[in-house]
Amino acid sequence: MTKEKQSKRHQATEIIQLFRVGRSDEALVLFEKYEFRKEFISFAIKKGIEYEDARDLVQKFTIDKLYLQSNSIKNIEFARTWMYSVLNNMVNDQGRILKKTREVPLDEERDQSQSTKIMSDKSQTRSGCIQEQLAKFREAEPKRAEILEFILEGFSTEEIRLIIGRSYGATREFMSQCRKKFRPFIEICNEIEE
Amino acid sequence: MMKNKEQKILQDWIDTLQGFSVKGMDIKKRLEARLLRNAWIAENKKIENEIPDQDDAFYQNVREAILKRKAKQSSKDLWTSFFENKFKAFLIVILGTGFVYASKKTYDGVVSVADELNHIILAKETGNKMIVNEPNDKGFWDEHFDRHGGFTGFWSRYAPSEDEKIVPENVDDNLCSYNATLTLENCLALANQYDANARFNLGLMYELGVSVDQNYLQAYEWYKKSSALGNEDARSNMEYLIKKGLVY
Repeated sequence: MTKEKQSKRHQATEIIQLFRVGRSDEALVLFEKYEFRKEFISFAIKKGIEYEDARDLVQKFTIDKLYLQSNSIKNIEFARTWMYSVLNNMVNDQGRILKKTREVPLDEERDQSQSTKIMSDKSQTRSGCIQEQLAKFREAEPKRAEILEFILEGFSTEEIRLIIGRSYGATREFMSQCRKKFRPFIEICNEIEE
Repeated sequence: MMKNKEQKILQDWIDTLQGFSVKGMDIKKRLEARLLRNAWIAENKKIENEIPDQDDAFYQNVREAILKRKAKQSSKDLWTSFFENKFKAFLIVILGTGFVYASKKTYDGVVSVADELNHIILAKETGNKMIVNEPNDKGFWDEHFDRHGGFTGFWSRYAPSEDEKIVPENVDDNLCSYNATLTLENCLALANQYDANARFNLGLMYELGVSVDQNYLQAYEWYKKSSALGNEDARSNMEYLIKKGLVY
């Protein structure tokens, strides 16, 4: 685990401890200081939620989960894992609600709009291409993209296992599939010179 | 061996994605992983730049909501704190279910507490009589404890005391209204006039053996006749006789 992620882990533990003893004002100050608001909103946005909705969601998460349910964490060392686990469920629920209410364009129209967007980004830099492919991967393989996101966030296999609620072996297999499935997406960008 | 190799490739890929330097990894794969990590970091920065640095309204709303929850919670604190202790909650559930089970449980010839409470053993008043309601000046102690100080239970008030069995002085007794003075002739005369209470009293006489020989079948028949006239207590006593196994 990188030093940055290690400190994030401690920061999360510190915040949860403050919530637990009822010092919510101090906990909120640290929440802002350690930039958890930005991190969580950004996490929700990456999963396809609009900024305003993501902001409301994180607000709800802070009140309903961090403040009210912080006592339910069994191992305080895994506070950050717990946060992501709960937030991930909330974001997925929100995503499902939005999916139900959102007007879905005709398949043909959607395909055209996507392909033009991909082509336009691909023609730029390799980094831009990978970003675009990452977005495409999220749409095509949302569950595996979720795992990729957690890996990039610096979570260990054990922590990811706790977040997604699977066995260690199943999580490891899921990660392996994630790597294999992502390869074709990234290979497209190999042709582009930096 | 093959599996181990695959696991190593996976672990190297994960480590590179998480920013660790990995030795002995395939150059192409390492480059891809690093590019992916850089793209992810760039994307994060881009998104975070669009999120305002300060959002006072966000924290204002959170603080207000927390204050509201605290105000609501304070009234529930005692109750919730009690149930937060899993042992206490478990104990309450066990005792509660045990009590309910015991009160409902019946064996052959043994009826439940509820049935015992519903069993009426006081004669009912019959005919036109002057009834004077005397104030019940029994205190908590008299109702729930016996004269030796032993706890008789909260249901003890349903049981007739010795005083209740005696005919009150200021009442004109028709000899078919009080356990102490029940007579077969008087009750039969009233029962033949379709008096539901007199029929109930006859049932009681046969059940308890007051002025007559104890006969549960006869008791059951008289309860049945009283019940036919709409006497709910008679029906309840019929059920009691059956459950107790006194009639079949």
